[in-house]
Amino acid sequence: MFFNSIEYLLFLPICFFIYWFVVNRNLKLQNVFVLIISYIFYGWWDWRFLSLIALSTIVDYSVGLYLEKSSSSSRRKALLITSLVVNLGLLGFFKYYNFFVESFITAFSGLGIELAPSTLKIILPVGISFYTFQTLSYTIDVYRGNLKPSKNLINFAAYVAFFPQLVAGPIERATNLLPQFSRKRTFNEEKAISGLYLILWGLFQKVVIADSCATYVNAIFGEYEALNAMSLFMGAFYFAFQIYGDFAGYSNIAIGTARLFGFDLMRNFNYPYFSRNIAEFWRRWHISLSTWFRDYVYIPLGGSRGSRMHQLRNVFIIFLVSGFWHGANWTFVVWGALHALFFLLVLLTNTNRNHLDQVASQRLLPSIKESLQMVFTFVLILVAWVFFRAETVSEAFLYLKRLVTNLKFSIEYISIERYNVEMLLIIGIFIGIEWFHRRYEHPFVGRFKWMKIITIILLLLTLGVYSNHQDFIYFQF
Amino acid sequence: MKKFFIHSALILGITFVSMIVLDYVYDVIFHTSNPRNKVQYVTQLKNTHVDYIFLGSSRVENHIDCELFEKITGKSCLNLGLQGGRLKDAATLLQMLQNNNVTYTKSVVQVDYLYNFGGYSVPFRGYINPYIHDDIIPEELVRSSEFKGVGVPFYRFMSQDKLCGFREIVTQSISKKPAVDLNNGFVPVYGVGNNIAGTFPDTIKDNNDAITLLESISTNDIVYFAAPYCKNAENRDAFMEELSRRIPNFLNHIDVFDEEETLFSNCGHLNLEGAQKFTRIIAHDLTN
Repeated sequence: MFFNSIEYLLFLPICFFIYWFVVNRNLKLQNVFVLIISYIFYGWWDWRFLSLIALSTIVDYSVGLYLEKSSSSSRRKALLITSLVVNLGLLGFFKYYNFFVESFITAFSGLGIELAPSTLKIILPVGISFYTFQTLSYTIDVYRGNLKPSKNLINFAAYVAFFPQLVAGPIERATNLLPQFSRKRTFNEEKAISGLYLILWGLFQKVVIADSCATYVNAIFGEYEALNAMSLFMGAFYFAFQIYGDFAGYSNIAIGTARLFGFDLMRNFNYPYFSRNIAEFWRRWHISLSTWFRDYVYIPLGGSRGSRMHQLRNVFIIFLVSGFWHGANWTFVVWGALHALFFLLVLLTNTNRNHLDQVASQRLLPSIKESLQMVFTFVLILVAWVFFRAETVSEAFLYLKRLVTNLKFSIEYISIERYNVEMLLIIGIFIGIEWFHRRYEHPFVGRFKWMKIITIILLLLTLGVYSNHQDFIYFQF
Repeated sequence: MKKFFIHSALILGITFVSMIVLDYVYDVIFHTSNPRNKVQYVTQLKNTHVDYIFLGSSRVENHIDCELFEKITGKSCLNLGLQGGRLKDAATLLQMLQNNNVTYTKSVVQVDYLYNFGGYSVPFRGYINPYIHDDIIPEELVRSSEFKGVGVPFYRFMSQDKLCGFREIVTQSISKKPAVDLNNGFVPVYGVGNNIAGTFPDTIKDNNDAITLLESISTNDIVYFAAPYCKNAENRDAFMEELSRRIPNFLNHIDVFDEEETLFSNCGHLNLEGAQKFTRIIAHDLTN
């Protein structure tokens, strides 16, 4: 079930009414209801993969309980490893089996040895990368003693399968979300209204910005060999906003939906394209994932302690793993490696902890220096996005090569019967809206709130892409 | 909860009112602007007579040069071939013309592998949506499951935003000239032998309800024809033989340019030279 579908439009209010008017007197019943609707939400796509979520739930719930009972460090370690093996094993099989087999075969054929392919027709369960990381955060936190294990299977299962963030995040920490299932939730009007606004804004980001850009991106990347540099630049530019609108839009709808049910999810995006360096970008982009890697991979590896080489190694590992998390393709690994390289530059100049505040926080407009910093950072991000979007690494290189060698920056009519710059005005307006509301999580604030709501609704209706449905990009991860 | 429900009701109310207003505005613009596509052209063509109306897919649009046809035959011609068009589209266009009091001597319908396809084409659905509530639209189309939801204000424009959405509204409003000369309807293609390959289906349907519909609505003769297709197309001849048995008055020119590959832009479409040569052939067939 997609957030921008008719089914969800019916599903959400029905669940809302039952949640607050039928089952609200009993917390246990409310949590059971959340679990049921979460399973319905996920099963709508493919009910068979509910078994994987159930398996992950039962294994980690049991591991949590046994961890509490065990005092032996070797036994505790073994339990943690069990959780890691089951969760990462599932993830590894469904996501990476064919990739490793094909890479293996390619590597051997490069040596002149032909192997018979034995790939499987594996369907990637939607959201597996997200919910496995979410349950792993639970077992790791219990292992570390940061969290008491849940003694309520229903609560725990609801935490794992919580439908707003199940398929594409935010990747919630057990320390944040799990206790909310144990507390009575009373209806908070301001929270619910802000949830509505976030859903509206998220829909705009997805249906207007992301899906509109997608049409151009698909056309430009599909025939990049015949297009000029301007078109190729626009292709990368539009993709930057496609993936941002798509992912931030989904996160906002997820967070907004959760608020309707009285839950608080973590913020996942904080205007990342206004970042002044790569380190700031990674504090603002897919925050739930970057902090997950920081807490569960980077810090255990030693983090920034130890020698500089040690630190650089850890940074590289994090970004490569993060790239790999995104998908079974070398393009994502290269994307991660590029970001590692960009990050290293910031690290070596000791500017990674700069810019902890919002850019031009006390001013209306950025300074020239800040503008240049943002543009430079954005260009680096664009280069990396080309690898993220391309089908293969060589395609990405050819794309970039053509971009810098073609040198024709003219307006071009592309195959979708549009000019390559047509989306610029809408993107410009979008950037403007985000810039002037960068202190807030959505633009529906202030005196002209209702004018803004009406405007966004009109733009949603007139500029939204409804005829050519685009899946959320992060569903493939 | 009161404040929350008021907010929700306001947002829903604003959305609904916006849809009604936008539906009206879009409707007015589409009905009052100069036609930019053939379907819109048909809605505005009234009280006139055309001798020959050609209907079908891109294999009509790219193959029948009406200007040349008129020069050869001295008869008026209208090319209503649509990219991706289907037989049901053709039947609907013919009904709309009749409802608009447009008379014709002969309708000429191109049929080939499209015989196996039912329903309306995606482009046609996009072009017809702005007019779905008009009197000239046949009942059958309005009741069709392919047009469900059109009763909801503005939904018809949202669901076909590519062809009748905001961008099209802007181009309609500024009276941007259409890519096709609608008075002729012919769109030439150029080049030789691009991707010479193609496939016809292995089996053929027993009947096509669009053909039945065409027979029932047509007040005059319908002539069916098949435009040339390259000889490399798999299963071409077998399929066309079966088709000939199912359709009356069928001019099968599928193989007329088998030895002249330079007339093809790709397997299913003639280039300009091929189209003009074929126009002469079909003009001769129809007027002799």
